Amino acid sequence: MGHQLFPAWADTLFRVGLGTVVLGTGLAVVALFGWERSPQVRQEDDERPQPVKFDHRHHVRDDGIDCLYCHSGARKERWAGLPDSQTCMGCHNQIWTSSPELAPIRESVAKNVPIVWNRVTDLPDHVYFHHGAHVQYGLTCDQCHGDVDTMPRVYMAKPMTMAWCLQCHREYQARGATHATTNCTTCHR
Amino acid sequence: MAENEPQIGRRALLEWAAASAALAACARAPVRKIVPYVVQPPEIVPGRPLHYATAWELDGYGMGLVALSHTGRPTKIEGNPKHPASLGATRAIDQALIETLYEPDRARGVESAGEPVSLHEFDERVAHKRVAVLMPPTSSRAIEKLVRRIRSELPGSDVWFHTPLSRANVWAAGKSAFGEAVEPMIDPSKARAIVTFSSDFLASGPSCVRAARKLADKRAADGARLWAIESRRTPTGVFADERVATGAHDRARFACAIAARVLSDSSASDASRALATTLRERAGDVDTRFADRCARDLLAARGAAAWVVGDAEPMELHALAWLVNRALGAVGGPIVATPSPILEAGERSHDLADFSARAASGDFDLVVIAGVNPVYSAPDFDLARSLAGAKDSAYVGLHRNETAALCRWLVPLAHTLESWGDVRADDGTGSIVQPLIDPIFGGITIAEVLARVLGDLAPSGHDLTRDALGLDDGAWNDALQSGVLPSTSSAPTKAAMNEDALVGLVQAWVLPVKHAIEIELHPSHAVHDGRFATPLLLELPEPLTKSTWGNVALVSRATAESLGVGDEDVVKVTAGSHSIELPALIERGQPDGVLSIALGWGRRGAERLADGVGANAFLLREALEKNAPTAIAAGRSEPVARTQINIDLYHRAHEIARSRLKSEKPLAPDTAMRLSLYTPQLSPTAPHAWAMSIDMSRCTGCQACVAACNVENNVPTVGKAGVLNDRDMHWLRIDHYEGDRGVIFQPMLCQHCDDAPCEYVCPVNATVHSPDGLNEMVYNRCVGTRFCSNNCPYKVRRFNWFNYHEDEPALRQLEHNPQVTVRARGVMEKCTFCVQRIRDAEHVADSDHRALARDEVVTACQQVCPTQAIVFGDKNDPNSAVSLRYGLPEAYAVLDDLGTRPRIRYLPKVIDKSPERA
Repeated sequence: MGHQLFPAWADTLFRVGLGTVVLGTGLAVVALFGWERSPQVRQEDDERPQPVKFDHRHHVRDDGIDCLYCHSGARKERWAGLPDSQTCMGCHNQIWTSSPELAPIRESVAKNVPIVWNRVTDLPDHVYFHHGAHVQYGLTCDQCHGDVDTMPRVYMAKPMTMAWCLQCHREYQARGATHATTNCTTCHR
Repeated sequence: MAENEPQIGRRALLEWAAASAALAACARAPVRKIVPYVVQPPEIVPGRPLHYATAWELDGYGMGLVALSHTGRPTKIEGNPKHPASLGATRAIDQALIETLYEPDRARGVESAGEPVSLHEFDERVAHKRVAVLMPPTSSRAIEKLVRRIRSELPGSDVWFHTPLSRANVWAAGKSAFGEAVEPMIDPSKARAIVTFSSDFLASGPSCVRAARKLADKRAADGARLWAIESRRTPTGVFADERVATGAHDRARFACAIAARVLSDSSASDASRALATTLRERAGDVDTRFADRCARDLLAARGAAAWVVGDAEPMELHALAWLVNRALGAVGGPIVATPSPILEAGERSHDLADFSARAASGDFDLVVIAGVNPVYSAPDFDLARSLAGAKDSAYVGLHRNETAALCRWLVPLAHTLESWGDVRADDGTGSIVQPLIDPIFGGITIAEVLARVLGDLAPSGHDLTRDALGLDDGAWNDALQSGVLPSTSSAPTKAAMNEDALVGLVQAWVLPVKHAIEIELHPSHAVHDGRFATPLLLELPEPLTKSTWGNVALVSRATAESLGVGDEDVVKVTAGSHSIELPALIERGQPDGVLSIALGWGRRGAERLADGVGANAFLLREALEKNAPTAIAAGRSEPVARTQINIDLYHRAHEIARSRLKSEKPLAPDTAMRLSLYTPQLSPTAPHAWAMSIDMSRCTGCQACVAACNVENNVPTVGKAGVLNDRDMHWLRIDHYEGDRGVIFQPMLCQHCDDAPCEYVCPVNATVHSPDGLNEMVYNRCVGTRFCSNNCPYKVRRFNWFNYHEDEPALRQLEHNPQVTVRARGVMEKCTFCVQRIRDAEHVADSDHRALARDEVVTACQQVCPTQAIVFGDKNDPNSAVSLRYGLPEAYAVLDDLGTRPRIRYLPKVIDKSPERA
């Protein structure tokens, strides 16, 4: 027998190394999937900067303005909708008429240039969510959007993932709500 | 659209892969924007589309439309149920209006000698000058008023009308008969026997939608036998119960033979009976048995029998048709002599030669050609010389086409969906054309051009239209809303028929000469006269040959052998000094010695997709009037992109495409017990069970459903190379089979099988079943294994080999239906039963706290079908339209023996042969 090039523990090292590579790769994949779905990447709790410092706390909690006053499409339509600049001015040509915070709104109306808001809740294009279908069956806004009346700047309070949608649909189905369907074309078409 | 072959090397691929992996690791979802209105218009609710009634005119005849607009963006065209030419359906060409609106090659601004200038400069150039205008025929009251003003106020100016597909022969015969340009309006609901002479009146022309609907209804109710005497097989010819293939000469002799038999009948007048003798001599040895049977059928249906003659047939044949129709008692019944709605129909202003000579004379400061392309479609008129002779020339049109290239000025024309105006249908019914969008490229309408000639420098199409129609606010708004001007249809002409003039015309008729080779030129079913160069229509299969992206020369087998050509071998067709080369296709039912070639191809304009596709048969048209054509093999071949190559049923007619004679007893219902190892997937609690019924007796193969499906569902086009690779994407195709008793058209789409073979084989559950019976396709799950397509016995699944939509110009992407996902590369797709319409209707019903109404959901193919061959609905409701047809004993499912249990049932094609042959 000649001299062994590798000592006996080299086998162990090799096996441990191999295992690490295989397991590590698998773990990395799982971790990437997990991270991709994490609230950080989905920016769930990120407060979005907006062109106007609109404070829901003030309008909803203090003034008691109903959600549907501004997001009027939510009751029957596909999209809840954002109020046009004119809706803001409906009140603000009476109160806080010279507030510097409202300058972008006044400018929008004066120059007829729309305000470009940053989306907080953004579903993928292949999801066809219908606000009206949910509000008609008695869901309240905060079930999906959280307590917007406590948010100085709005963030996505719920994950808004397909698993999260389905979880709710299944719960309603289990309670006998036949309209809470879970077939694919309910949302994808 | 064009070649989509990957252009990336191995090294570059790895670099990109590494870069994207690195980027993916640090990417966060992009923040998108929401842009609300400054002042939201009260009628607009984001997410809810609006419908506007409008209309447009093709060659002068109006078609009523309902256009769908998503927050200011038109995305779909439907027919207007209140409009007499539409009855709620449309032609395939109408569907393409959306595509022509968002055409990236449209003219984008006013130019003078290639330099961008302002519209104002053009205004100054035309106002109060001596201007010659050439424009398409029109029925617009607004334009009529402007033309009359130009004629009276500006003696130095004049207006002419031109279309390559003129009805001059119809009008000329009408003028001889009644002293005015009348049109024979066919009402098949009053007919029991109809003979057509090379007239594709069920699938092309201004009244085809109404005629097809009424004939299909009449057939279903108590029968109407259709006889076709024609060259190539048209949808009308194969819809006919009896058909004979002839060249022009033999067709004229058939007409003489049948007319002789009808006119010699005792009820005709003396002059007519005298004419019968002449006609009998001219008919000669034409197939007398066919003529006998046809004449007998017509005479038996006296008062409800009619002759219909194609636009391109000789004027004398149209004259003969008036005589025969009168002898048959058809005039006032199935045929109504209606004054043409077209302005100055049949007058000198419709003569292109007159325009050409005057334009070249130098009498005018400016020659304006608006919306027509005579340089392409009338090459023999040598408009280049006329335009060179004119002091200045302008082209007003949607594209910088062949004519625009010869003019100094280019002014963008407003698309019909960008225009105010008015049109009249073939029966005279008026409609207002209202815009759905501001002119994207600042175009102006032809009425606005004419107003500029009169010195109005800021004309408004809206005001011109309102002034001309003279409606008060209420009537105007009502007409805008309903899409028709009430009680504006023309009364039948009051003039008595001048029989002597007609007899004289027919007596002097020199029958078309019989040449060894005859060329039949016909409008393209898709691109019409060449003006519709959009992807949808370029790729719309020809009803019978299923050829796309170009024209072919149809030949009979015997003629092909004598020419020494086979399928796809190029023939060189020569007439006079012109010749064109195009591939031949051997077509059944094609008369020997006749080559049928579609017009409208071989464009050389700015529309890049159509550039050089096919051969321009207009080159031959003038020469054919004086010269005998020749055809020789060019010694090479050229592939023809066809979406269906095999039309044989291989004795499987019973399983696939059933047909029977009307005299036979109804086919036995399919009672075989289907055993299945799988438990039915259907939820017994589902409120609806969506199903479809397709009546093949009603299908004319017109392809309107294919076009409508493409527009509704964002179906991509793949280009000629794609079609040649069998990569066409049509969710709905119309299969053409040669049955035992003639052609059967079978619209074929996803059958939404209850036991769908595609569903079992999908490894990722991307295609699954819904409780209401839909075979769902989930694009975001699909990984593109294509197992489902391999396992589908109907071959209705389509695979996105490339990013067809992502690679489109941005303007083109505006046409997409926002309610339907735009699919990416690597994804399988197929008919969804218009699930977006189903879910939308459910949401609307939910919002109103009511159940879905009966037949409330309408699929795009069903809505557009002129003959209502397609019916969709809930088969749980025993009285829904679909249940009534679905439950008929003759209704069968295609390839049901495979155990797929389809949700679509077909009704066999029923053919009503005349008794002698049955």
